[in-house]
Amino acid sequence: MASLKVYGKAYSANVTRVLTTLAEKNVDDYQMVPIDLFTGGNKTPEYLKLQPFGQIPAFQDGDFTLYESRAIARYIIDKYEGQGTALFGKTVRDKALVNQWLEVESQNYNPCAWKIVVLTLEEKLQAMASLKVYGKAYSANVTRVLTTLAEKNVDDYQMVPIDLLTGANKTPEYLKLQPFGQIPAFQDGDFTLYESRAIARYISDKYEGQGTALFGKTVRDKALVNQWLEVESQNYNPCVWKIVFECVFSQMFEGRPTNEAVVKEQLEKLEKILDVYEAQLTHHKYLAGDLFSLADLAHIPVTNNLINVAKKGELFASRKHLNAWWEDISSRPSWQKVVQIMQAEQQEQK
Amino acid sequence: MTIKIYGMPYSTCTARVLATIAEKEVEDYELVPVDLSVGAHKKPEFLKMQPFGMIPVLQDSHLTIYESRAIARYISDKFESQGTPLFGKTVKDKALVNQWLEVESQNYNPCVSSIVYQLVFAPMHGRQGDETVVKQQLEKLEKVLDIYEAHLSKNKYLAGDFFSLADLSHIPYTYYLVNVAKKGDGITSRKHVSAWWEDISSRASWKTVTAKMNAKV
Repeated sequence: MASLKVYGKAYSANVTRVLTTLAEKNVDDYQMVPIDLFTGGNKTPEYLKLQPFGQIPAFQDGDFTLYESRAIARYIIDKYEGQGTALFGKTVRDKALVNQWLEVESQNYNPCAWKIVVLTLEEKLQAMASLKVYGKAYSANVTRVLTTLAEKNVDDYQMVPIDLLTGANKTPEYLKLQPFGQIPAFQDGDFTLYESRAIARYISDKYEGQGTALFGKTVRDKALVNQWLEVESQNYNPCVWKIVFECVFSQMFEGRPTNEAVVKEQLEKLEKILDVYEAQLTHHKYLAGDLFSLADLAHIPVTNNLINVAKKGELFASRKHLNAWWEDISSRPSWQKVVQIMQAEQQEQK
Repeated sequence: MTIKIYGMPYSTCTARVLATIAEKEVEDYELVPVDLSVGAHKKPEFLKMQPFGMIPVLQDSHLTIYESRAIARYISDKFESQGTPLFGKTVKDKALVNQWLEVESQNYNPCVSSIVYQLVFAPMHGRQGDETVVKQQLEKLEKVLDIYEAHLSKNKYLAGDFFSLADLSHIPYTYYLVNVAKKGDGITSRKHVSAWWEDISSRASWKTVTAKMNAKV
């Protein structure tokens, strides 16, 4: 039935220029053939045969093909001269003025308006499509997320600095994102998430098809990864964090010197925990088995703080398999990349 | 009966697992008691299963898993097609469940478990509870509960309009805080937190767990 075809999508102003013309001329009998720029429908060999510039719209009347929306509009007006609105006035003079203002639109108005629209859309798309990580790379919880992104080969994200030292985590705007006032927070478009381990899980799910498989292959693998994630969360991290805080951050954040009694107590606890890790890693290359997983990754940032910042490396050096595991996981490209981000951030502060 | 759970119903972490088992309508399992009073959890046979010497532990054929939240995840995965969907329906639902599981783990539980330890478990082991610690932790908890109150005034449950593992994970320690340690004012004085607590603690799954707890007394 419909010998008229309009190729394109109605989100395009150039396409709707043609559709509006058809409507003014009371022409209903046409077919829209979707060509979506976002999926590259305009770059297929078949489409480029119709419109070699790869733009929309293209138009067909039977086997006659036409493109450029203003040319298509003129064709429709000519073909359907006897019906609908008279779009070129009545006289030669009318038509001349219509043509004049068509050129004004084409040469003066549209280039301007189009640039404004594109720039605004680009800003909105940037804001919408991109992943954002709120925080600073000095935070182990933030780098837990950055390392996960690197393992999943996700580069396309933006870091939005939220510095605890300036209280940026306590502003009303930030508390809307993360009501506990902690870093990191994370956004995927307008979806907000917090808690680094939950963010890491989300990234692992979303990007399941790419990068390192962070939960193994089977339900059983996944269960063991989850187990060691909990061990990190419940046993390892609370201990290590207390030691690192006392040794490195007590002055900065609480204006007081290291509480050596706390450090001693936590070190004794940690020794016992590390004995369990040493036993596990004697029989397994990684915590959950033969393969690197999110469970190993989750340990990296705090362990870096423990060994390289709080200078408690002896705990690892004295345990053969634990040390080998640490050497292995901390030489992964993902962590090396995050170390560079941390160093670059430190440089910026100077 | 391929599933064995090693633990005690009165243990908060074992209760977390038993509540999950009930929500997923799993009937085919065995609860194997571990007598903490004789240090059964520190003996070599037990340490082979759980090297940190803690309950609960799950065994399913040749798979041994410990850490109650990991066990709960495993049960949710294995029995995904039955019982309550504990991770919602979409990838985003799941992400929000995981977020509030972490909030429970990192912000809520350290406070509440500390209070419960000082007032309930320390005395059980013949130790005097530390009132200063209780006071400090209660103050911290107040700030956390303000955030929960704001959140629950806009959401029926933590991850949205559906009950999830995130809500369930809070139940055992909160039960001890409110009913045993008698420090539940923070919960009961906040309108939406209180309503949420009433709702989740009246679920059939939790009632089966408290029945097991009381049967032991």
